[in-house]
Amino acid sequence: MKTILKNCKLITPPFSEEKLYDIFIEGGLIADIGENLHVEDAKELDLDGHVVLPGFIDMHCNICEPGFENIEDISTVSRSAARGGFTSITCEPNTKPVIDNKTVVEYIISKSKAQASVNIYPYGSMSMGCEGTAIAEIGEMYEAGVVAISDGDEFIDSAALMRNVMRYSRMFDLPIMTHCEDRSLSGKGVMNEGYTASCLGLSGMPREAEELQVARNILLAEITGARLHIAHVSTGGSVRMVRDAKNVVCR
Amino acid sequence: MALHRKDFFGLRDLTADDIRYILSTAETMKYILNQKNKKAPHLQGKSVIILFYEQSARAKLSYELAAQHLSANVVDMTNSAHSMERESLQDMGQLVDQMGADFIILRHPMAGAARLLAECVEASVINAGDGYNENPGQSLLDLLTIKERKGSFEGLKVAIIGDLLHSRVAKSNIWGLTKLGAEVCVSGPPTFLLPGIEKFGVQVHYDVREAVNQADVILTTRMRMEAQDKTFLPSLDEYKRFFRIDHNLLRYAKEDAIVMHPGPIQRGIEISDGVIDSPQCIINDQIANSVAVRMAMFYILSQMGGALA
Repeated sequence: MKTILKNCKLITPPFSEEKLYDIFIEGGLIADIGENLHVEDAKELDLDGHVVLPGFIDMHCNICEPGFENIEDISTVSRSAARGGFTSITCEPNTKPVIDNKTVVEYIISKSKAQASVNIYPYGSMSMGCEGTAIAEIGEMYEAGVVAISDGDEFIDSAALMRNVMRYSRMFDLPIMTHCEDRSLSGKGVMNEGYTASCLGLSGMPREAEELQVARNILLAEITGARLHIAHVSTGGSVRMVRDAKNVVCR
Repeated sequence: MALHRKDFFGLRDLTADDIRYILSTAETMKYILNQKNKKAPHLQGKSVIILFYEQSARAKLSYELAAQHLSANVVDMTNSAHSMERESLQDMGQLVDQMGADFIILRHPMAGAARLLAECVEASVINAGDGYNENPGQSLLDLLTIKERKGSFEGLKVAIIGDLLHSRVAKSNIWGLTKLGAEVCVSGPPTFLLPGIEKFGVQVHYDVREAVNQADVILTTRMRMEAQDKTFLPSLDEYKRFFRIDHNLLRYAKEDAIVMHPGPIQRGIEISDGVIDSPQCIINDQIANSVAVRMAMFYILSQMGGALA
């Protein structure tokens, strides 16, 4: 099946925003991109200068299946993602049961192949049940196909466990996605602590709730050599620490 | 040549020559064991006290038998564990010493216990295992077994696989093998690797296949899962998946590679059933050497030091 999308605006390098390009698709794959392409027997679609972008990747999605299908499931989440232009999404391990063993990993991967129209990549949990007490079967999950490990929105309080997770993960070279929040500090906060919160009479979350744990995880990663990714950084202090650290990335 | 020492703490204090001397003495002791009447007078009139603060079947048996074969009087104090807990190690040592003991065999959960005891008694102290530190008896019998099978240590490729953090036998073996000129590679779950292990003169590999590549000897360690280990290793299943010595893994080693384990072994976890029952796994040879090596240790100490000189 051959198709040519004509008059596309491409804004990613190496293409120029000033020109319009044609994209030739054959057998479901992009075969050529250039100006004024002509191929015999190809169906032509004129995009009239609309923008064509590479598929987006969302690295922090809650798939909700298994366990919370009343909210969302693999097929609905993939349709939403596709509608928004996201061709690859990852799956946080906060399902029920938690993704802490190969069975859940295999379930998600096979169901996604059958029902999802986008790529779904599962994360494995760092601790059993995301409870932060015992290390999860990371090796088994790595072989089943997880692309990274994470405890979702949970934070591992025990530095000893976090350190062991980082050391253990070096066997498989898996990135570690961490949610940095010291709940003993953020408590029941609903917004940033500060003047506005005080005016409104709302409980605030102080920046140290995030920054202390960012500092801890960066230090542990530097010492253990783990591949650290800090999820949803939200303070200037955190950004500064990530920038100064070696080999740590964030979002 | 002889070792001028009163006690045996471990292989860290021994030189390569010391170790070779002990091994050749052990080989001579094997002659005694091969006779119908396994009795020799070397320790006649001497007494050996066994003081084990930790459970053990094989080590205790081999020390007892070794002492009996050499005609010593043996007293096992392990049943007085109750009183052992109430008295300090030094006091226990004084008690035993004043009653005229010549040898004390100590197994204790704290590193350095044997050295502490030796400093306050005149008897010769043999360390049968102290905490996570060393176990010279087991290590020497491993070395003897390797020597019998492979001839020499120079350039021999040895892989040590498993829990290095908690294995005192592995530590003693690392000291001994590196001194004797072997090339040592280690591998295990990263949470069980000894911090600073590169300074021991060994190569560390995260991938067990690299450690075992072209190995002549594969030494394994006991994998025990205690409650507090839940943060170190998810399960023994996970250990088995990545580090178990089975026929697939042995394809990377030399064809005549030997596989060893200090025991007791968990079948199917540290080594697969197939390999345990194959001629490459020489655990029985190790056990056979365990008494001879301890006899050598007794004999050498009796020649040199302590209350006996």
